[in-house]
Amino acid sequence: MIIKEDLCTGCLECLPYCPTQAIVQDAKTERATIVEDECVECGVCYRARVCGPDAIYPQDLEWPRTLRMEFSDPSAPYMSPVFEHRIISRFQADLREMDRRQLLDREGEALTISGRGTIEMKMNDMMGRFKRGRAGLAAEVGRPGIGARFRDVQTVTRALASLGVKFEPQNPLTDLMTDIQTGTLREDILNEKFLSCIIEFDVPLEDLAKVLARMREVAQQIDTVFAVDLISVVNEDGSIPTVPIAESLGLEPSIAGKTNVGLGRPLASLD
Amino acid sequence: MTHSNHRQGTRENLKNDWVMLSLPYRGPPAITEKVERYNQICRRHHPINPDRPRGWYIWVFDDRENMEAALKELAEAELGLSVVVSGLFDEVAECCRTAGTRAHTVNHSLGFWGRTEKLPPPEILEITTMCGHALVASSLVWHLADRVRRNDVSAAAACQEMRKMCICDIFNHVRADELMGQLVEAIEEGRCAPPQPSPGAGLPCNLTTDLSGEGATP
Repeated sequence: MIIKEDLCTGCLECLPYCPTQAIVQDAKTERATIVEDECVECGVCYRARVCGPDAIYPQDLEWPRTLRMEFSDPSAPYMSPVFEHRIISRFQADLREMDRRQLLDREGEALTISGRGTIEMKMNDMMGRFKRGRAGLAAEVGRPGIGARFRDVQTVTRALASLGVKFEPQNPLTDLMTDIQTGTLREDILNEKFLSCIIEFDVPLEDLAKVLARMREVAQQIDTVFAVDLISVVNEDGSIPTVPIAESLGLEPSIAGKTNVGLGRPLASLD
Repeated sequence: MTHSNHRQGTRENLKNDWVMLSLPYRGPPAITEKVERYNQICRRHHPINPDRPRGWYIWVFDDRENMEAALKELAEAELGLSVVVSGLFDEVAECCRTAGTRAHTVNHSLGFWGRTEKLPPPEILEITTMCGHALVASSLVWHLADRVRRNDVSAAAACQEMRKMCICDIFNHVRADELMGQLVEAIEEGRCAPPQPSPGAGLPCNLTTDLSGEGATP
């Protein structure tokens, strides 16, 4: 995003709307300006319609800056060439033909929200993606609201890969890896900043403690935060096998979160 | 999407925060018919985001009874769609039993790891995490709360403004309104400073945007 200096009146109303506080007052002109390297192209400042003279302008993006939008604006279609194979419908293809302003001006865009993760456990009753005896894990790098760069992501993926973790192939992050075995990302994207990027994988329950411990270590080596998700099939008696393992490490699983309530049919095998 | 998984709060203030979604939300006619029935059922039980277009699939309830009634009716309808409810785990499990089903798979948050000193205070985080995509800026929440403190805008209007940023519309503005008091108090007592701008020339600002829908005041 950019702010057209000649249109900006210097009212500064747009400043607080930016999730990464990338809109600041220029010391010389006293008008609002966007720190380009900190902007994640989420489109919030534009969608907020807070600028009377319409000085906030969504410029078209080029690779690798397209990644900022793709990992920050949940309604954005895949635009980067690296995600070409993910354009699976005519609808998505049509979105891709729009310029940035048209994309942000869409009405009813909620229907296109797909996020940048996968359906994880939301259809586990019907798809059985997470089996008994395994734990699903995710590190949502940059959440909540801090943002991150792909170099932070790479620090985490390399640490996890060293334990033999297999990254979820359906997650778009996997497309950005040059070596999935080592968790190495493309060199040309490492400085790109975004709101969140989800590292998804699952592990056998017997490896869960080891992997969580490694995640805790690597969290100290990055310049941002990540939110941690822990997924488990619920036992017949209502107990949750991942909880005691997490608690044994001094972790406190949340009191609130997501429950797949088992209404999907037909039920998938979990063995 | 794990965007409803890290809503922060206490047991007490999470009791009015329930998000229900169903997948798939697109597909062949037989599926879209089921989704429409799912939506009709959810709409009947008073979600706080009722004015969504056809084909919508995420509903927010500020009352357990309404969520529970919706879940029970969904179970009775035997649509065969996967349904996920975000909220207090033990209460969702109880609602499942009432509805004649059981929790199948759960997704816990283990919190936020790393440079947590960068996070805003809990009073702000409890509000911002209701938009899991982080489109409700901590700086916006602070500035709007400060305006509420100065009687410049009502808490309800401030929360509606926050809600507008959340394009999935899973931001629970009713709960945000209820949380506003503790945030205003924290600002009043100097326990909650405004978030700092990114590197660059930044100055604190005193914002006055008209929230009546008339647009920005220059």
